[in-house]
Amino acid sequence: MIHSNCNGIWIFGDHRNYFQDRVTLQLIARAKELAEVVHTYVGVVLLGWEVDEYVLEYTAHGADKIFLVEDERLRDYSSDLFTAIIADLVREFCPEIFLISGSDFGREIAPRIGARLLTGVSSDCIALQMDDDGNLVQISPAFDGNALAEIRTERTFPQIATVRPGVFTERKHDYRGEAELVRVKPDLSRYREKVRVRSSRKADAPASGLERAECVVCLGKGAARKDQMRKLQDLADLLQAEVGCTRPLVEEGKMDHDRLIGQTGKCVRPELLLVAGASGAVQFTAAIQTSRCIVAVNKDPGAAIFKYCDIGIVGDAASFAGRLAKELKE
Amino acid sequence: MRIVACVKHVLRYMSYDSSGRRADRASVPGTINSNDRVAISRALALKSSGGELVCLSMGPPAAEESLLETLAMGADRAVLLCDRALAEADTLATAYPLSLAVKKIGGADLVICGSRSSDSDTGHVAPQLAEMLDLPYLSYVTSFSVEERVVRAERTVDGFVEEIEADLPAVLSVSHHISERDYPSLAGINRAFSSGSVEKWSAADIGADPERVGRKGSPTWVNRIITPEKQRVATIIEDDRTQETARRVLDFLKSRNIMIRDKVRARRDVDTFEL
Repeated sequence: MIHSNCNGIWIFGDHRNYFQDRVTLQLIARAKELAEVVHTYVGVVLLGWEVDEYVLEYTAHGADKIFLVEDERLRDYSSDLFTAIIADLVREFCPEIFLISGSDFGREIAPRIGARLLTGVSSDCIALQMDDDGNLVQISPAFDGNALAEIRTERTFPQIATVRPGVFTERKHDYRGEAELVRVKPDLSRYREKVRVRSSRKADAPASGLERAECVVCLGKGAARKDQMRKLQDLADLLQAEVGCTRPLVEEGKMDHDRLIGQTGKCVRPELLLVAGASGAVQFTAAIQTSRCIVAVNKDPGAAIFKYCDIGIVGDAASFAGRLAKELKE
Repeated sequence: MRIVACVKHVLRYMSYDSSGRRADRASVPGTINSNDRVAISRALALKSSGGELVCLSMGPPAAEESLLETLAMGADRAVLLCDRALAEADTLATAYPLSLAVKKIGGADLVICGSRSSDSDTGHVAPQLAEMLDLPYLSYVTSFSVEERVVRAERTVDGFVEEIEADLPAVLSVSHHISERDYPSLAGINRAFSSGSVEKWSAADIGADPERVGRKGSPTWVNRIITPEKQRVATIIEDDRTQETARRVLDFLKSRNIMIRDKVRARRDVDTFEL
């Protein structure tokens, strides 16, 4: 693909978990700012069935064009169909940049689309900028989150990046906004689904609200005894906090994986995070860095967590939690 | 039934070389990427009902150690793609030689990978390998079985629980949300490290197009590594085991405008109302 023939910043319209999942709107907002720098348009690629609602939303949030593929066969997400259709759309319309949400699905189709088009994909970006030549500067966490990598894709197009949810702020919607609706009707019989989805249902247990919680209490190894856990749970209830944990508690079966905070679990960014009895392994601290205020309690004054908190208490986590709860009740 | 498990040799902890851009592979010990360990465990479980397991890695000479460990765990063969020409590859330039290696092995009925690696964590290699082999790709799998040339799997993606299936041959990645994994037995380690051998293949051995491997074949590159300055300076207090510590913490939060009191009060109002 040749650079000069490419135009536009594309966003994947990831609507499966809308309204809770707002990353597409966040990407439109950031893309609008980037598009202004390089004088191009922002397009949303929307695949699905009966998706008028999303056409409206994406338009109201600032999309200039919407590339719509509407077909009953696209009612459920299919990685095979979405990959194939989107790769063909990219070939036809040649966007310069393609931003895809960092959902599980987005992180699956992005590399597949990249492999089909033999172009570069960066993953889990937490910042995006334009350099002077109009190329995308893709900033993504590297090495357990201890550093940031500045990634470039300048010889192949589009420059594809998946973006972590929550790093950009959506714009205020404006339902007077207008977008050009480009209806595309590919011959779907050309595409083969190699993986058959036998059933797909929303998980029973509501996912923990850790990622969106304003207050989080995180239990580590030093707060894993039953009586300690109970004390911290009481404090969490009082603070209306979500409870998370570090890996040892998941491995010992004391808490669900859904509650794991860390590199292989959830990333949290609450107003207040209380870390109780966790030592501060890098896999963990990488996932809490963007919290506004971190309170850490640990018996070991040399624990690494004390380098990653705003206020550290050298002492027993459960005992401190009990006294904090008492203080709050007064 | 031939199973190929892809293994990444990762550093146990992070340290940079003098360029500040690359991992210091010379001085930091490496190990099998933990998610790949899960993949190997599942591959071994599948192999127990008959078949052959080949573990495949692309990496520096030190990656031989991880592959020897896979032999100790019960793999039948271990292959290392090791060549300077393959170095500094991004995910596309990694998936391509791996796909050629799978073909040179004689193809696979099932390729099993971890979903993510602990160092770069892109999650790209398994899906891109599937694309290059033009095989079905089953992602984020939590459990699976193989029967009459069909692989059936369960997975959870974006809060949806799904049952999916595909005809073999296929590529499958195990969820990075699984923590149980195998480690080799002592006897296995002794056997593998004394008599096991890892086959080493070069870029030429697999017939790789020089334009599609290494730095040259990588559409993305790391322009620079930014090490963030430490942003938090902690106030550390010794817990004197009295209410005073709790009060000091609350004062601190108040000084930072962290609004927890209000919420607590709101909550208590609700509780009172319900009573």
